[in-house]
Amino acid sequence: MGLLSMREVRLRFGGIVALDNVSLEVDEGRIVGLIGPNGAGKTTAFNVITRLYRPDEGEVEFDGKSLLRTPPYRIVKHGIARTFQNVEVFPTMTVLENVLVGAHASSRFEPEHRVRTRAEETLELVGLRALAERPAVGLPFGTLKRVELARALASQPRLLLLDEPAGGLNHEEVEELGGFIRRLRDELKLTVLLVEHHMSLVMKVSDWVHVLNFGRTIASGTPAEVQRDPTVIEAYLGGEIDAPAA
Amino acid sequence: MLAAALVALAATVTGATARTAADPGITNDSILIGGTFPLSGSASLYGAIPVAEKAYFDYVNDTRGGVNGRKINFKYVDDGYDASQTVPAIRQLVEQDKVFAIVNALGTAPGLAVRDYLNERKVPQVLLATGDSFWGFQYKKYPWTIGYNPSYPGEGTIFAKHILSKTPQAKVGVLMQNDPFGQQLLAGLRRGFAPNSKSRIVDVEPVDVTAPDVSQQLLKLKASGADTLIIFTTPSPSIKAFVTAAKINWHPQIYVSYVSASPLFMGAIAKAAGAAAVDGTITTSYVKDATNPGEQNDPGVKLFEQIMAKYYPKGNIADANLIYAMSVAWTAVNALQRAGKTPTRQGFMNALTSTNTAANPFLLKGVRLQTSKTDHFFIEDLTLTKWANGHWNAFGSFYHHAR
Amino acid sequence: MVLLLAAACVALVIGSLVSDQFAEQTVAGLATGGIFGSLALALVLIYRATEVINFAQGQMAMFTTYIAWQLMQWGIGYWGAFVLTLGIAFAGGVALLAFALGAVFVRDWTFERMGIKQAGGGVIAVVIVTIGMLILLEGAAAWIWSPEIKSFPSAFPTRPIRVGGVAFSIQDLGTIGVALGSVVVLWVFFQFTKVGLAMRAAALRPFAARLVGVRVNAMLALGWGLAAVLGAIAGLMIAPTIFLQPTMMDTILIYAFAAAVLGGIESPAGAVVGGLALGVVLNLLGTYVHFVTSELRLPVALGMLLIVLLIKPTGLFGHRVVRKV
Repeated sequence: MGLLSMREVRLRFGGIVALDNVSLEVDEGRIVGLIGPNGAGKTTAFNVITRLYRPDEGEVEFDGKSLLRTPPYRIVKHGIARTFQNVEVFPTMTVLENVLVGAHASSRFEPEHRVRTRAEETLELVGLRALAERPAVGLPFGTLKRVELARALASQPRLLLLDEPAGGLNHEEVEELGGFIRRLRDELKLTVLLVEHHMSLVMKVSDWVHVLNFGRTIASGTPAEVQRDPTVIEAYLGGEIDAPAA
Repeated sequence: MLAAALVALAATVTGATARTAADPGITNDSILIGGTFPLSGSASLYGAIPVAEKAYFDYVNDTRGGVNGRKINFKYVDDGYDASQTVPAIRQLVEQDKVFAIVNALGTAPGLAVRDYLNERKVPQVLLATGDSFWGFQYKKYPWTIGYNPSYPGEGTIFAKHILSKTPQAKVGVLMQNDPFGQQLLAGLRRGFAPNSKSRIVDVEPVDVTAPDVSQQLLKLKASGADTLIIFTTPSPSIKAFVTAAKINWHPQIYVSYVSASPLFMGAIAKAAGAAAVDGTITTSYVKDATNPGEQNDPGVKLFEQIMAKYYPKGNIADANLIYAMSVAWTAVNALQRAGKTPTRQGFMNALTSTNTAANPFLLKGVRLQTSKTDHFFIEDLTLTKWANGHWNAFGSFYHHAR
Repeated sequence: MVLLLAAACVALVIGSLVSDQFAEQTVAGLATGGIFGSLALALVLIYRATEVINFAQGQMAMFTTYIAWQLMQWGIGYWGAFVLTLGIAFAGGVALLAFALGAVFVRDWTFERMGIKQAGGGVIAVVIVTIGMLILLEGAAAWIWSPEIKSFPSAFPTRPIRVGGVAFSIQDLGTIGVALGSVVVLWVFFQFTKVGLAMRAAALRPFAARLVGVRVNAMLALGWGLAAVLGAIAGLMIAPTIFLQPTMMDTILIYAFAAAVLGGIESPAGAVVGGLALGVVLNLLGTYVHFVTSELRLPVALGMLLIVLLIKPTGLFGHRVVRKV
């Protein structure tokens, strides 16, 4: 039994089946990659886990407890934090304030100055300490991705959902990001579920890779296994866009 | 089928001919009259007027069996003080409800909006609750229309005459509502000061009826060196003017139009800004004041209070509009009685334009209601009255022919 | 922008030292402007929380002022009634949001039942509900308390104080103080408290805020509640001068809209500065520029607004924020 498990999840939007019987296990302390061509259902899966969508059928459990009756704002209290594909930072807030909102999620009886210190330390961790007082609006996309990551980390999650963290980064930055994700796992004992188009990154950092296509699981295994899987190769070749960079 | 229709048609025709004997709104045992009033919206504080009128009609119906055996039914509808709502409301009253006459409908613009329509159809538009002088002057063109309230220019002239007799050196500042109402009062004031109105009036500050406050105007009037303030505005800006004058520590001799001089407002201002804010204020008057201890034993005031207690217990006796309303209702009943055994619209108009009585119990002693074919001004007798000890105190003699 | 404001302030102070009338007009303008500003602040709070222009804001203020009057009629002292009224206003604001959202929900549900598919329109629907509330509250106030004008006591003494040769109304000074005080309190609340931060987050990015533990609906309700409280304060401050009437706030709300847009519809500080500026400019124009007679006051105010928006479309204090749909 993994830390997170989705079992036979189905979700329809009108006539479109967004998730078709998807089952997915994420074991504690692992980095799991979730890949697939555009429209495969990756972000939809994130939205189901974070309760923005309600599945028509199936079960989502975290740490052995069902999430399906948890309202979205309670998800973070269970220990799940996420980032967004298109960055959803709070634009008119400063970088530090953005992270503080995250830090408050796990600050029940913590005095405010300690929360602040924790937020500043998190900024240090992602290398944004110098920008703490800058308003988020106007910062480059790559920096905003890090602000968002810091906000997620500040809520002290057990499971981190990363939605295309490498989007908009250059080659070097992607390399760096890979190392950073591993560090999070090793040093903060985080479990990571990673949606990413950047195939080389996924294959390098993941312990396990789950492949979706048209809302259905088409493969699941170690990076090496998945890369050899003929259905996966076919899915990516068949897809019009985003052929694997690997 | 056809036969049935013909029978129905015949019935309608005979019914119609049978009814031509009496004018619309008149049956064997009832008279239906109507009016439009601001029951909602910015002028809704006048909304109590028709209720008090209905109270008087009910009193007449109960104690005297109505007029010549016909009970008076009064249908009043809301026009929100908005002429565009008055038009359909009046059409509804005339065409659907078939009222005999429109009585005491309130407001200048609403009245103007339906004057042509009512005159074309020869529907009496009478005892209007507005004091514009043209209601009285334009009787040739609009024979079916007649006002009731004293004319605004007349009041302005009375103020000027009083100032000239008591404080001829006064420097007069005017707060004027920026519409025909305020302009007519000002014109009357200028007429009263003529030919020296330029030197007597040191400043005129216009104010919009909807202005959120009047501090700018009052400060400027104060700075102009005026020692006499004349308030020619409707109640809401008038109250603001009194309170603001007190707030900026300005204590001129104040004159205020009777339109805004209800004891209700004066008492409220005294409560909010202190008695000094209103004491000594002068206005004109023609209706009795139920709040004046000196008039407590007056039979008219007693009758008013008795009718209020029985037919309109929720009404506020201190609201001068209510005793005013009863004076209107009394005048209407008086004219109906003289309009013939089976009253016609023409007969009603004839009665109204040949009124000559000082018996209206709700008007001050000395006020004579006098009209003729060529005099369409109902109330032309006004006296000055001064606010002291929490009520109005009439002083001096009556001014006549105020128009 | 700050420089421009500082220059304006200096000009006002110099003018006030030179002319007594100028000083009096300025202070009176600031007091009226403070009322515009408080109500504008309420509009801004709701706009920030829900992107809704609350047309019922003036009527909410009017209604809560009536409640204060009623409480005093029942024998509760001024300050007791004041505090109670703010509490009731808060609950009322929250209830109004719940009602508006509920109405939209019922509409959607009914349409679904009737088999009518229609996309969103949530904000517009809420705006329409607020217009409905405007009419409803005005009618209800007239029905419960009668449309009769009622006097209302002031928190401050009605006597003036003299500074040099100039008489200032203590009530005016108090009103200015309360308006500025509320913006400072709100600023501290939004800037330095956990809940304030969460409210901002909920307003800016509701989905993201939810997923970092912010109870977005509660924050929106809190925003409406706070706005109602501010409106109540504006009502309590202005009522001693304009008296209680169901229509007392009608035109004031229009000036408050102008103030809010002038300051930048998303900026609380801008709303208050916009209100104060509008109050002062209108008074000074009316005093010194002779063609600005009373019927031109509102057009001039709106003209000013237009000029500011042409030069700076986001208002004096607004930022450009790109929103995704």
